[in-house]
Amino acid sequence: MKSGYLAFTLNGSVDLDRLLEKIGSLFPVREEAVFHVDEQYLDTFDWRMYTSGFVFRQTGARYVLASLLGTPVFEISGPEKPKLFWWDFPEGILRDRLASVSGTRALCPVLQVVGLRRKFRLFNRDEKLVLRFSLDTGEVSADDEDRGPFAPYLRLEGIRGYQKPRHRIAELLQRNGWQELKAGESFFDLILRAIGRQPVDQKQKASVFALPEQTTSQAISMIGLALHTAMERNLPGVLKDIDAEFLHDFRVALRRTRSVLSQLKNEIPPGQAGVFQEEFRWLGSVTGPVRDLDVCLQKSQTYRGLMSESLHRGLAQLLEEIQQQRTAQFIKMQEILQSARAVNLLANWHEFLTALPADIEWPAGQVPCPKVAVKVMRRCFRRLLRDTGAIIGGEQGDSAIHRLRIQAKKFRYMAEFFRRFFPADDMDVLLKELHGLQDDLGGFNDLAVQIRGFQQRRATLQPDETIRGALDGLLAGLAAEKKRILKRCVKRCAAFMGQDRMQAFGEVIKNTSG
Amino acid sequence: MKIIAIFSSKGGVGKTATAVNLAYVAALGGCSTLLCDMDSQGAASYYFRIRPKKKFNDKKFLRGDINGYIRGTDFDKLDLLPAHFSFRHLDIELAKLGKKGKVPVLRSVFLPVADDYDVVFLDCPPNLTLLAEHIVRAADIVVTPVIPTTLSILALKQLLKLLSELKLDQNKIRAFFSMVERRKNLHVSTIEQYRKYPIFVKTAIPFLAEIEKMGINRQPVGATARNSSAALAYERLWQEIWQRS
Repeated sequence: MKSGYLAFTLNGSVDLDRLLEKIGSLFPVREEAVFHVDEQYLDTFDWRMYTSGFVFRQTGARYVLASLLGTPVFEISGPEKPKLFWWDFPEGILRDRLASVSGTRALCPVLQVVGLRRKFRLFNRDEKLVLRFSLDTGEVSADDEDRGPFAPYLRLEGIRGYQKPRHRIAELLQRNGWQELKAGESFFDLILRAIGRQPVDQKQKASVFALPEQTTSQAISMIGLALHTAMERNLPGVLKDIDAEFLHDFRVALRRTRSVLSQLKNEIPPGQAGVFQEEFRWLGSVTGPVRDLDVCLQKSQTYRGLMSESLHRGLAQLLEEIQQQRTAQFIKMQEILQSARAVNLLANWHEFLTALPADIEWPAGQVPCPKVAVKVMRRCFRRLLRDTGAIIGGEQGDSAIHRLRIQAKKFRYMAEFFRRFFPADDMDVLLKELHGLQDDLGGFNDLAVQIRGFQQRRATLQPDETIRGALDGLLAGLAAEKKRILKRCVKRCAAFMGQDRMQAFGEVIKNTSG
Repeated sequence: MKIIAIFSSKGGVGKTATAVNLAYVAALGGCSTLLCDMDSQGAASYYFRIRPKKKFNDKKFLRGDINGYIRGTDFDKLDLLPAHFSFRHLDIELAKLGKKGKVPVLRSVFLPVADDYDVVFLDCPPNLTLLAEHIVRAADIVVTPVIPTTLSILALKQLLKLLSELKLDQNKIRAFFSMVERRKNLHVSTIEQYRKYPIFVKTAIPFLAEIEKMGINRQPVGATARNSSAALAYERLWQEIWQRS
């Protein structure tokens, strides 16, 4: 089915009659169809479809997953909702593909195209079809704010074995001011350009780090502002409850901010650090319950696998209850996040961070950042070793694991912020090792939280027999899973402590001078 | 990739009409389809208004040098490898290869495009020569149109004999009654006598003016009249063949 296509665009409007006249002088041309186009392009907040090489189009209840260059890969009918998740689609290849690309993120409209698509056919002397072309004209809009006409888009669809007509028409177009799109450029790029947009990877990455020439105040300000931006960027999605990832990313930025405050409190003017620390702790506590319930709901498939089929009905009821509880908790959280206290907190923090580098009243802030970084990293590393050692030494309760998990996070955050001050290779290897350990520690902690939640539910809610059975099955399954992960955590701790490179890294930290 | 040969040693039984229409229906149903016109008369190519490239010939065909000679039809997912006048020498060329049908030469012809197509239809010339041996050996399914008359039944029996001699599985044959005229007693009685054999699929293609008019319209019946009885009959035939495969 090899054929290939060429795409062209034109600066300005197209005189179709004149164009058809010119094409008609080379080949008989007939209009095949005219379509009114009203398509929405859907993607996740962080453009996962686009970055994975896809566009996902919707026209009414019809959905098309296409390559970035516009070649349809799958088509399917689906629900018409303002936000969609992969699980809203019928089982099949398209759903699987959406699941692997979008994960838990909602697919929301990012662009709307309204216009005309006219299709034409060119024939040879035998009246055999030798070339198809389509012409798109219209308007693109995003968020009701950006709106504008896009440049005419003409696409030549070759027919296998008939290359000459395609070449001749391509030449004719170029002679008449049409420009061929560059390799890899697509209609989607064209419409994005029309409203001056670029797909942005919104996912917050730990890409912000302190620079050697910075003072500590400057570094805190830069890192803090980047994290503040991440919180502000995710907050609208949290409030609209678009998907659970907004809250997750918001909380990650919040946790990092709290780490900055706790690890660098001596470098921040007295009084201020304590106030913000307390306020951000409060913000963490008010967003925690919804996040815990989100995690719970996301694990529904895992829960099903942990129990016999006879308990699935009870599990479904239980999950429904959790969903209702989540809705109630979300309303509370939504109110709090829009309260004066929360709004002021973010505004004050921003104001504080902006003014911080100029605050010369506080000498600790003027210390070169590398000097402070070494001190902080030594402390964090020491504590990480202490808490890892405690696990290997037999202290393996929930609180010990939790302590190590927090310590590992603090170390990671600081290592990411200060990575420029240490040998990159050593740091990369250590962080990679730490990543595996953190995954298990996180998994263990999630299980501990869930078990605690289900135990409380069992004790207080007095559910009916069906739910009680499911709860018992679930608790037994989760406990076994927790035990399994604990074993793995202990093994990982031992392996982590035994790493030659880790020992070497200890030396590096010890020997690095600010 | 499945190779489906539309074959009968008898001429005028509706092989080309079958090949053209089944290929069209298969493509319409979503299969990437290649129709290979192996008959040097080039009737299938004519139906699709496709001429072969001048440089193409029987030798290139047997070497599997076909990629550059396949041409798109007017229909999505349906390509055609047009017949070349030199195809009348295919028997001679095969004999030169000296393999007497024992090696699947024809199958390897299509290997370069195996990833491009789900189905390849062979519109075969009427004969029982070496080429016929290669065709039945290469095909996964041999679809054979049978006019409900004595000579056509005889051609079917010869096909069965050929497969038996080549020690090939006779179950790959799907026979169907073609150009059926219910007003003819001979047609009715022949169908009555033979339709019980599992080699025959249930669908029969009636003798219809729409099919004859393909020569004027130069396109499959479904492209001219999507819901005509001829188009629907070919659709049913394809569904039955595809399901049984």
